[in-house]
Amino acid sequence: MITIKPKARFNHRILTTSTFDSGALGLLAYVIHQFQEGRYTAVVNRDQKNVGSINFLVESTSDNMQLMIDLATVSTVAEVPKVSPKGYVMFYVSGGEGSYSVVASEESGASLVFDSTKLSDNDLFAVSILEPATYSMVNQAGSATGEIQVTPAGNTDPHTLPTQYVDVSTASFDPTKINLQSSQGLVFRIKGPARIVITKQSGKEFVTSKHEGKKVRRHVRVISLYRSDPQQNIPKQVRRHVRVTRSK
Amino acid sequence: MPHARVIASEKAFERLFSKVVEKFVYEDADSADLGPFTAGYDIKIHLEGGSVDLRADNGVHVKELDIKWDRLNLSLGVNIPELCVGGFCIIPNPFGGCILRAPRYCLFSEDPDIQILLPLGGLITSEISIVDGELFTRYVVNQNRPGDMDQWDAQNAVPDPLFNKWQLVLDPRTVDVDFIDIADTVGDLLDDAIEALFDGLLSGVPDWAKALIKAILGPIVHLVRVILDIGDDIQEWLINLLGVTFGLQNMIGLALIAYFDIGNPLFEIEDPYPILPKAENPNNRPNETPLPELLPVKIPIRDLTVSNNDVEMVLEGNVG
Repeated sequence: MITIKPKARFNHRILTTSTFDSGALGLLAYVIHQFQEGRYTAVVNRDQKNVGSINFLVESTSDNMQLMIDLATVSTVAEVPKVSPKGYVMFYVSGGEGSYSVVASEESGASLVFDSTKLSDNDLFAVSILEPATYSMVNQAGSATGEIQVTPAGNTDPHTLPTQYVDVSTASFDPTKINLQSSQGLVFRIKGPARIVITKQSGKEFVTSKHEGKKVRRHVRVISLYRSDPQQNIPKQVRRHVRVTRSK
Repeated sequence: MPHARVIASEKAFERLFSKVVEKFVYEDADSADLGPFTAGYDIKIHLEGGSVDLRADNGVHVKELDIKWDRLNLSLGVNIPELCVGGFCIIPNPFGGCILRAPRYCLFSEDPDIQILLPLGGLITSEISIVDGELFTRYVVNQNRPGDMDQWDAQNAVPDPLFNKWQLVLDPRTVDVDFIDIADTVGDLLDDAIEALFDGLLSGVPDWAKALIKAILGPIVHLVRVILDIGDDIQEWLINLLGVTFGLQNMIGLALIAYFDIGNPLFEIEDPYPILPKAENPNNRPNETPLPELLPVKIPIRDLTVSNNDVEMVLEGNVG
């Protein structure tokens, strides 16, 4: 009989994410843009419907190099976060089914400066693919295509795997074929208009191993030191002496 | 010269011993926080077999008394560390470190605490030996008997007689408790439990994902073994856990010593000893009122001693 009592709930959605779209962000996919100094409003859409917005400030007095905006919780953010113009703004999704996009414009409403469905020069699109499989990668804003082969992480700590980089233009990915280990970071460096879509094509199986044991022996000697008094009917006290020998 | 002497052969003594030892039952349960994990046991044992050897030096040896594990459940509680993916560096700092890092996604809502129950009862071979036992007699005064009660009143007390007793007791003195072996299959039992644990934890997840997370975890069997600090020898680890950490061998040994010494004499006789029991009056006649019963004939016993050589046990005492 084996009794198992797990308490924690497993986050299934992380492992069932098999499509990554820079224009429809979900789990494990991030777009990064570097903004010039100014005040911005980011409007978040999900399946073409507005689900909220957030204001943020890019100013040289800030020493924050990384502003992370969670598109799934943007409507709950009350304060105006700040980031340095030398830093980066990362848009990501912390949970749910995804399919988020974001457009950012100056708060004055003047011009659109960023659209996650149409990435442009120097933007970054990063993904972490878990499922071992073959994936296609397509730049839907151009004609570039390529392939990603994801293999199991094996015994290597995934956090120690080096990030791989791909340069993206409208016409090509460089390199066009990428080999990754499961959960290894992959970053697309955008050169020109781009919307990167990664789609699973096929999967594969893998297994783990068993163990062997050997014979052992442990010997303990227990000795009582005090005799009871037969005439008084007093139970004797016992003290133990332990002698341990081991043999294999 | 003693007034009375009773001699029992080694075989007869072995039967006497077996009758007492077969009633020995020891149950215990406990748990402990061992830092990275918790462990607990729940045991119930009895003893079987064994061969008695009376020694010429007045000692008693009992060898190869098998410990039968009616129950030996070992529970292991393991806190699986945070399991997250992502967190890789997107823009490295050329001078070291990372300028921009991806967020991390954790696979569980919280660190999962898992508990595995391993039934080891049928997998462990163990035995007890009494190395240098010694026989002795003791006189036990009935604690319910008033100090001024004479022998007649003690005999007639209601509901039970309140006579004193002589007891023949085996003092085990030194007990060897051996955990001889744990079956090889215990390793597979644990590994299967861990595998089953994660299959349960990942129920509803596609097979590829189960395999993937086990791979990410390093694999999970290895991870749990590391947490439990098992190393590459689970049998030695288990015997060490049961024998040293929990001290089960000591406790079993002490329990056997206490069992024989305190509450379970090999046999006991009442004092005074009835050489003729009470009986129906032989002068009774049919269809007439029965005459009073004949009183038992009892003789007081004093100076009861026991000794043994390598072939027999000798009880000697005086009357009066």
